[in-house]
Amino acid sequence: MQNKNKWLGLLLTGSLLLPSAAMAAEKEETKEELPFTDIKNHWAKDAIIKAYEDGLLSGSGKEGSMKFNPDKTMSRAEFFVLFDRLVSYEAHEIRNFAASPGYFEEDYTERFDEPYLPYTDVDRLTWMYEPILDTHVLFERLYGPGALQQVFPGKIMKPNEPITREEVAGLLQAFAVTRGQKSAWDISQNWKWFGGEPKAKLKRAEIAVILERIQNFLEDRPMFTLFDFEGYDFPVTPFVDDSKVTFGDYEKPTEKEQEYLDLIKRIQDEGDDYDYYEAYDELQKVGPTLPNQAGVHYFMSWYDEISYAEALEHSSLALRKYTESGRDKTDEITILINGYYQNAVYAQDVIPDSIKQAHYEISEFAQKFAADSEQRKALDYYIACLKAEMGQTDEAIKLFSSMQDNDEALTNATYYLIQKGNIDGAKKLVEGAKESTMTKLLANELAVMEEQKALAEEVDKAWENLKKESYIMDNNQNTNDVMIKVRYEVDPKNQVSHANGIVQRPSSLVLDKFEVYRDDKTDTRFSSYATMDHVWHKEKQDSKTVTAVADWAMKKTTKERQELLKSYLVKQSFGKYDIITEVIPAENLSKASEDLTLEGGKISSIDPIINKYYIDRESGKLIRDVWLVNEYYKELDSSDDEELYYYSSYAPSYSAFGSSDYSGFGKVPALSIPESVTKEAVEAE
Amino acid sequence: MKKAKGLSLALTLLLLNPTNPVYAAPNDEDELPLYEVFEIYYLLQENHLSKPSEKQLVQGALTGVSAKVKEVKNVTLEVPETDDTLEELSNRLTEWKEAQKLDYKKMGTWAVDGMVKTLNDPFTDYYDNRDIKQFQNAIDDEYVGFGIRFRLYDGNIMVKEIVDKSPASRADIKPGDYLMNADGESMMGKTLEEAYEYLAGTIGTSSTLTMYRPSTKQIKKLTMTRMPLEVREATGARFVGSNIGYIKLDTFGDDAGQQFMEEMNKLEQSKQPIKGLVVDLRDNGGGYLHAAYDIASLFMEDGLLMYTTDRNKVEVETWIHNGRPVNYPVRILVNEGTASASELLSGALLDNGIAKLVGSHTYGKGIAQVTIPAGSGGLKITVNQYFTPKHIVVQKVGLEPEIKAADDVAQVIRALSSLGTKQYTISQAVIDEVTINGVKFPLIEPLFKSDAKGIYIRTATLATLSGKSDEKLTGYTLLTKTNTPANVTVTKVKNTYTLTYKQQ
Repeated sequence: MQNKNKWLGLLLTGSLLLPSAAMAAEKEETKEELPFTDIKNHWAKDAIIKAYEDGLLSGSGKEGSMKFNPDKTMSRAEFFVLFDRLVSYEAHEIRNFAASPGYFEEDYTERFDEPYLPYTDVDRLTWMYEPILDTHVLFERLYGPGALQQVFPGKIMKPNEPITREEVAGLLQAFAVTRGQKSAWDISQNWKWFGGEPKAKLKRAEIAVILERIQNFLEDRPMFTLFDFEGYDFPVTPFVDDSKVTFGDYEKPTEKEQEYLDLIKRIQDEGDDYDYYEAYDELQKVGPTLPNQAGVHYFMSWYDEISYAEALEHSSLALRKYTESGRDKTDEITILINGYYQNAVYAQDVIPDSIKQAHYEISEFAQKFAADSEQRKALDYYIACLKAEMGQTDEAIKLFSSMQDNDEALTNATYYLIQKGNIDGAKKLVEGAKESTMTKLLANELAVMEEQKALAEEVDKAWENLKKESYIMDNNQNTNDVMIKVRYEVDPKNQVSHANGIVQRPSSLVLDKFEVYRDDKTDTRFSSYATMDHVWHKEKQDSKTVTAVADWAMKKTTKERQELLKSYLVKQSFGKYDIITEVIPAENLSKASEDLTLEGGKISSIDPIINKYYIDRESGKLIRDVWLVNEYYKELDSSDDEELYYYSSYAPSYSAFGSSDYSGFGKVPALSIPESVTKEAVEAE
Repeated sequence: MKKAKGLSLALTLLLLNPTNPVYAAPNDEDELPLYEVFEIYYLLQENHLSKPSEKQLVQGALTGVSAKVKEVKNVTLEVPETDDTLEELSNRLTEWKEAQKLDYKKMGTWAVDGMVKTLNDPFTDYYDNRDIKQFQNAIDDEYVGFGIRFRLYDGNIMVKEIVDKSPASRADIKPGDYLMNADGESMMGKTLEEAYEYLAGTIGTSSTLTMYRPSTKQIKKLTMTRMPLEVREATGARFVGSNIGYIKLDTFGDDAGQQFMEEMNKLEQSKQPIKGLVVDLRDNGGGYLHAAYDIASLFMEDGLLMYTTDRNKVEVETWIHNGRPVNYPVRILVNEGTASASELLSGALLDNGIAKLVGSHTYGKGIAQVTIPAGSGGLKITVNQYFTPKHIVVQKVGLEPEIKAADDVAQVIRALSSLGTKQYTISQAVIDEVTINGVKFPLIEPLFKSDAKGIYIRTATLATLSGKSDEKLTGYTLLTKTNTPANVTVTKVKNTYTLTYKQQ
């Protein structure tokens, strides 16, 4: 029902709007009511229905007599629409990975120049334009300049041509962040999405099946299976479906039993917000009079209007009442214990003993079942999770490792082994497990873990290579809604740079023009703005106060960040570029911020910083970098964290995203700051 | 150019410094209007193209209030030359309020009007107490209204067309009538854009219009209620027998680009694709920049749309990308009512070598405004000047068409002629409409008249048919054997006049 994994949570919210697969199954059971008239006996019927229910594919014709045309091909443009939906609904994660500002994108453009397509046969006022442009922007972010043209070469896209297997693979590779240089085709084969003849055209039914495979693949957290962004992703727990459970057998329910069943149904449906809360109001009132107290307390424990302590109490009572009822169904136990576990985790900041209490009661309950029973297996999973939460890592690893054919347990065991620095142990564990998508993902990531140092060095080397001679830097950024477009000429030998740019402030309706000279030897900056009558101002960099945590972090080398902040690096190769993505975990940034004097005050919460470096493989030079930063500060006079959480959108924050392009290597003449500037300059306040 | 549309009220308020007591948001309801004066003061001072000085605005505000007090109370309030800061403005207004028992609300309106007046810019305006949505959508709001299309004629607002099944079509309003007054506000000397803004409103609201009919010298007051209208911004047609398309655009509203494309597609994707296109931007007073951008992108794959500059002399190039090129010649019909976004589009297509302009000199509005919420209403403020891709100044200059014709019928003939049309059939069945090679055009003045002596034709149109300039020609000429060119025949059957013209 709820999930403590934030990144996964994001994924789930994306799909909340859409009817679940369970609903589709339910429909089938009751009546063969198919959305399309031409799929009844089709081999891909189930996948087609799922894709339709998930809002990914639709048909043609009027409602009631819609056709899917399963054996027709799909045009390139249509597939782009589908791909765009897939990214938005199912894999918002890759937008994060691409360091794209996501939700803000629509309102605030980071660039003064809107992006556009390199193709002449896709026109901007057509329906296909936006999805193709979105994909182009995403691909540029993921793989560097000209990325989409690696999939569709040249200036002509032919958007109305049927799409081929090879082209579909070219687009879907975006979902697989895999190590080493693999072709898109290899990626799709490796993950068993599809194979066949690369140049063959795909049928719509085949695409529906591929979609289902991609969705299943994405559920395994392919981006960063082992990487903990927020600092509380682990231990991972599987999604538990409680939308059908009643904790009883009701063939001929009594009046009271029916009342209970009706109430929990309304809660389980979660459809209409009003009805949901109404049902909870009633449950709260009549709860004590209803039969099945285990169920009553279980559902009460998910009520979001009660405190953590109350929720925990309901979870504990639910378990006790269930024990009293004498029932022992594994699926019911899993649902109950998952609820207890989640509530204990939520409550641990408020009730220090919540985890211990849950561990004690659940372990006690587990004693009822034989060691090799199904029930015991389900319980042991959560007991291991609780041990991990209590810091009994070795015992947790032991328990997780002993569980066969359990992707989550394997992931957790691998994660905690790495935490203990036992990468060899982790590798052995993964190698010993039965091969699956998950073992492949874990193996891939373990390999990435081993090359972390080398990757940090590679990034720092790319910076060094860039600074060997003069260059031009074209920078587009949005920092706290101030948009800047500026071109720097950089002379690394003399450590002087000169820039001309324009700035759009959120409070202004017009652009401002500025010129800057920077002397890196003395950390001095001379700037002149049109709005300040072009008078030169001199500014010395203050080393004590820091604008933002990101600002402080980015002054360090990649290697230093890796050591200090445990940043995580992953390298992809695409065309003539190597793309290294650096993710700095939120938790470590938050900790580091405690020792800093920040302009905005104390950090209340922070998102992981994402940096991407695009390196020209031949020259080893950095040709572009992008960044995405979000920091939220505590209000200086507010000590109420809970309130801040709810109103975080009003709290002061620092958000920045942007990109720099590096070019013109060696072509900038030697720079020095003109005397007219240094003489005229007044000290800035 | 950056979209300023997204600016919210909250962001606008950031302009005010909360630590300074003068600018702090008041606790007292009564002082709110004063606070609004400061807000608008800042918006003007920091954004208006003319870079107004603090003194100019303060003096303007005080002069505005002083003049109104004189008018209303017949009391003379001296405006001291030395008042040139916002603080002094605040103090002076408070002093006057106390002394004259005035209320801040009225003073606020007067002060704002006074400030705006100093800008000498008819396009910068503050709209008090108006629904901001309605205000921002002034251009689109033709969808709700009376159903009248206007044109600028000798500096006056004249009815050009009446929309079918509209409130105006049920009232006694005809093309050629003048709009003199709307709800007590004189329309004399107003621009088309301003007139449309005055007439905008929500469904069910009413306005009283004062109309003048020159033919009968009648002045009439009409009260009408605004209704939803089915109006297309772009309408297309095809000239009979010549494979030349025609698209008329009435305004650059939100749907203009989409509708223009639909019309173009119809003309291009038919069995007989067009070999030339006439775009009619006559009396099109402009609208949204993005609509002009969209339409320009239907004529070129890539190209420069315009340059804009603001008060900080930041010059920005606006480029079109991912458009689509046309493979046929284009003519744009323009006249003195072609303004703003229409001039922008005309200039862009002209300078990119895509179109030639036909008609008369355009209005000359080369500045752009943004509208933002401000005070209790909205402020429309001039922030940019724009130039054509060849850096030609439009503001107060206008565009001079290469193919000149002043007469509205002659303009169409010249455009078609320049695209190779040789034969014309021009007929007039009712006095306010003419059909030229199958395409209907509204008429302000009839093309033909007749009496016992015979058939008369507009002198200007006749000059064009004779291959002469029609400049400064007015009135009608009785058609005789001697003055009718050999390649022109005119007949009248019942009430329908038909002219055929075969060009050599």
